Amino acid sequence: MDGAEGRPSDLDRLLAGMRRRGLSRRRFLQIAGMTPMAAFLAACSRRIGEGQGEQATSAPAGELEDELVIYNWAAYLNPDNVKAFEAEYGVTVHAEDFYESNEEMLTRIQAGASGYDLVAPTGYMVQIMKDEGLLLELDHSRIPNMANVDPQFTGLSFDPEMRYHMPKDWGTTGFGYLSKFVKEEMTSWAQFFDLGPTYSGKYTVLDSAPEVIGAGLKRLGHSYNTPNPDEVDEALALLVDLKPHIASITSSQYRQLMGRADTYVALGWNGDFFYVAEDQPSVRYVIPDEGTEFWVDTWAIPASAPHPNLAQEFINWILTPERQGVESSYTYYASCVTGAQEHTDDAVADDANIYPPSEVVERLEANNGDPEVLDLRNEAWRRFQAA
Amino acid sequence: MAGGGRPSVAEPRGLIFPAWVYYTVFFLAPLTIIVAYAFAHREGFFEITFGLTTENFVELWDPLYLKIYGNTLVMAAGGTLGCLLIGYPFAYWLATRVRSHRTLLLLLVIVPFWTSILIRTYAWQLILSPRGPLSSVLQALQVIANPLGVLNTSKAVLIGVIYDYLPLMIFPLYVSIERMDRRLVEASRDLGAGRWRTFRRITLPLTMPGILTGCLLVFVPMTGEYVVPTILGGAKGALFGPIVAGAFLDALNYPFGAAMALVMVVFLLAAIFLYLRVMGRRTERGLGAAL
Repeated sequence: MDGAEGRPSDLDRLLAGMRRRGLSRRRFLQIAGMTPMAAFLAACSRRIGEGQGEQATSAPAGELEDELVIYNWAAYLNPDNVKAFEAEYGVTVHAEDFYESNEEMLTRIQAGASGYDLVAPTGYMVQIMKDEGLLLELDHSRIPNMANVDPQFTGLSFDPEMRYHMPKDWGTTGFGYLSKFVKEEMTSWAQFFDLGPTYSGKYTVLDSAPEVIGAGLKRLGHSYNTPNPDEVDEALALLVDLKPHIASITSSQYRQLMGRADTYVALGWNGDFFYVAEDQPSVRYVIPDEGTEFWVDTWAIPASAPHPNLAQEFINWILTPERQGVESSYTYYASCVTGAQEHTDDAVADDANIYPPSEVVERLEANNGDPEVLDLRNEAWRRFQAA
Repeated sequence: MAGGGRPSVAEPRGLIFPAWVYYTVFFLAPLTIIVAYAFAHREGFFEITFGLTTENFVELWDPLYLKIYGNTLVMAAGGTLGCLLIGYPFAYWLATRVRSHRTLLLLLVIVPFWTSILIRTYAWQLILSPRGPLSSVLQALQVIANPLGVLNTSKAVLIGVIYDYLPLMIFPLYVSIERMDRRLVEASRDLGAGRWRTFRRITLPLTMPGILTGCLLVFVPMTGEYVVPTILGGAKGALFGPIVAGAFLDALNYPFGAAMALVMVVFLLAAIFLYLRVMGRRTERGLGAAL
């Protein structure tokens, strides 16, 4: 067969990105002529990257390079911003390589097959990566726009001095459902788990351990970050009971499945349900009563980045309220920069699921990035996959 | 394969050297790494101590994982049988009944290979969707009452692997049927054997090498299939390929993933060895009887 191992995962991600974009009608024309090219570039950038992985530049004091290779989540960077940056600096940006979970990105960066200049880890993953020496220490003199970051997001526990990351955007992990097909009004994790048998085969969950095990923990009233193996086992049992009713475990396809109404209930990230709304206006996103996770995604530079100077320049460039507004209008996620909301499309800026009120924010808890906790959940996850 | 017996030609031994290098570097080396990992102990997130622990194999001896091996072998066996049942009549027809355009038809069998397996598998996702075209047509024809419930089940995986691997079955079958001496069939019919008997006593034994090759070519990769179950299989009936990938990629548990893979390799080697011995002997006997 043609390449049953290795290649599919990369292509899979690429496709996921293409398909997701394809869904958005207002963006369709812009992308339509581009996809084969994007596929080609993705292939090239990977090859370029592999070649350059070894000759890592360690001195961030040098001149700007002419190339930037970004490894990111699908549809998580506005192409308009990429084009503007390319034009302004006369450089080439490769932003066609995507990953589906932090763990997957970690595995690839850790394996050394990098060549990437910029990644977008979630906070807890920043902690793991910096502890492993996988991230480049940022030169703050190169990033004056870090002053624009909302003070709420400057002292985050995973990297309080922002030596290894700059906040990109933030959001919540909850669930969405199609109210056209689900008769009950869903507001809690309890309902999410209890309604499994009623809507059997119409569920999807993320392909990611922290979020899914975390949902079970929250349903049981435990902390999202519990170090207690018994509590994790309890959550696992709950999830194993739900599993027969789950159609698919996926982080990239639930938007399509729900968009076609193949599934009705999805454990996922808040902004993603905006994509679903384009095809299924009855979709509702829920921040469950029991509370849930909030996460902050970041920009960080792998220690082996071949183009660290341009990467820092890019981070600085994108941290203005205007450009953050362009980002949020595209990604449907809340920016961490003060004043970005004013530059964001009203539909996004005024949505309580993207910018939730403070009483909701109080119910949220962040993944604290403790490697032991993470490992506990990963091992539970492995059993959930096999169950 | 069984029953070759072509005269050997003296060749300079040096010509085989590149093949040896290739197999050492690209086959033996990765396999050695897998074996090393399979017996390693995992301390935590990033720490592994190599050694001779059997803990990874002990953990595999769990109904949870035994079931995955079982499901995978059943899927691969079903897929192989499906390919054979569809592929044999087609190859037979192509090799014996088609006079013109045979090359064109053979080419058409390969055409799907020109597109990425991934894209073709995604296409099946759309075809099998409960709200997809197939579902609508079947409902309109009143073949089924409710929307098609195939996507994200083991049925979808079976359809997917049969579709993907069919050409690999057709080619060896075609070659063996095409090469067969048709006069033996005529002789059998002249001597009074019916169609079925002729097929069973002449055609089937003579084409057994093709069947063996085809079955091996599709069965072995099917056991490790990753793309199809990931895209079409959904959450139920977890299979070997995605679970091993998960152990490596999600849980970062290389020792467990390696142990799981190693058990499959050993099992397949044993099974194939046995299969070739039993079937191979039968084939030779069949050939002997036929000739």
